[in-house]
Amino acid sequence: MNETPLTQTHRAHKAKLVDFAGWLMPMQYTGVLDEYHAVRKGAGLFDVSHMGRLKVTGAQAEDFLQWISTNDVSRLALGQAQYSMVCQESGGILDDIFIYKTGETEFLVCVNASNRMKILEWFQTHQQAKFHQVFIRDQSAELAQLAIQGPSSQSLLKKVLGSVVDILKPRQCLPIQANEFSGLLSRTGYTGEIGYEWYLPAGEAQLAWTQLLQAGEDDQIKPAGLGARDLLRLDVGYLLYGNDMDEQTSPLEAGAEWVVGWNKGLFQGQPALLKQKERGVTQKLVGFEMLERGVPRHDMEILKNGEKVGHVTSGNFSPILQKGIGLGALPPALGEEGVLLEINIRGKSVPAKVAKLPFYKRRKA
Amino acid sequence: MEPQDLRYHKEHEWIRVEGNKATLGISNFAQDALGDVVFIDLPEVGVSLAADAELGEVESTKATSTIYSPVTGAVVQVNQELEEHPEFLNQDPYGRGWIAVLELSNPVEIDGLMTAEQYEAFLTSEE
Repeated sequence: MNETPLTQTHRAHKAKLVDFAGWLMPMQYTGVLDEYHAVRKGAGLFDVSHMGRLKVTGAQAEDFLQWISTNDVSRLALGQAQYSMVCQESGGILDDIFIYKTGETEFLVCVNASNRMKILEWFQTHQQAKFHQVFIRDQSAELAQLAIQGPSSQSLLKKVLGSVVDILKPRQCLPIQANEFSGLLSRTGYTGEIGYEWYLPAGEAQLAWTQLLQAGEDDQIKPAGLGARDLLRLDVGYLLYGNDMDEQTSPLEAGAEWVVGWNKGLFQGQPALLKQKERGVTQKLVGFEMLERGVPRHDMEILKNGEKVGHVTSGNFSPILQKGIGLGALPPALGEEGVLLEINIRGKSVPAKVAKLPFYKRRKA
Repeated sequence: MEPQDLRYHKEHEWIRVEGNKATLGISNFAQDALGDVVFIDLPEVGVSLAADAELGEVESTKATSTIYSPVTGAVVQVNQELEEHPEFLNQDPYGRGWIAVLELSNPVEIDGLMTAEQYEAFLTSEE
């Protein structure tokens, strides 16, 4: 099993460690709810070093990413980050990714842990085929990745990294060189709160972790695990690869047409996606909430008047909304907000309705 | 260490016998494995249950789990407080986290349940 530079630290925190995509990762420390509320009210510190980190450089780096990903990379200014997807020729999603423009011909691509080797090979194959001025380096082992998320994250990070933190606006990133720390800091996250992700040399991870927790004592920062992370992301309707989408799902079906740069020219999967757009999709991912007590879970049936019309891709109980919420794949006609449905929860039809995403919106300061 | 005065079921419920009545709940191991409980479906008072029958369900942030009745009996009382405070199941599984009281139909069934010592050995063997 793979371990991150912080696995020993998690053991010392008495975290419950689980196998996640071949990585030994903390599911929880003190408790999922405790950690969830820490992020909604104060701050949570996550080790997300299991994610894959690929550096793409060279004169054709941007052209390569334009070809291989769905979003329009040319819209990225230096120091900006973009959510995107990698599709195969059929339009099916190979992975959802984040692209950071760290130099004029230099990008950092963050991929899912479970897809890292697949994406690395996919990138290399396409690079060799027609992008000879591109260099791909897997930096996953040399870099660690922390997420500092929650309303207190900014003030907390400032204590460790200084005022450089204040410069960052949402989806911006910048290289840091502060105190004994370096790496790339970005204002991104997977929780629906103000938050940051920090890509830093593996050797600095331990000290950064300790200092962040110390800095946060007044701000109630807590180490937070994958359990809290999954609840937090579902509140805001963020997708989880393998649950909400896979190689059989297109970005249009995943409700993510906004990451398709239709005007940027030809890219991998574009003809198939265009055809799908013209014909219309047969199912689409939407959010729904339970109208009565019950917790929807992955793979449960979605019914309309007793007939199966779709399935739940992600579901759980939202601690802040105090009800069951979920994402599910439905025929577009049934995906309109307010449409009444039922979820088959172990043989019982529990009423639900299509809801607008995100389920939860943070209060703006 | 599990409380010594209780008997334990293989599905990780505990039971405390007092006369012909028995209070039951889930063990510390069970609450720890479940993770944070967000709500519980309690049985209705008056319902008769066979030994090993489904008594209720708990939803945690991780999954849904069934609670089984360790013995045969009729539900005479349920812990309504759990509807407002499902966290009692995690915080105090042997105390405020009790789930229901049954009237025993067949008290000899108790002898078939594990003692604290046996349950601890069972937990070790399951690891």
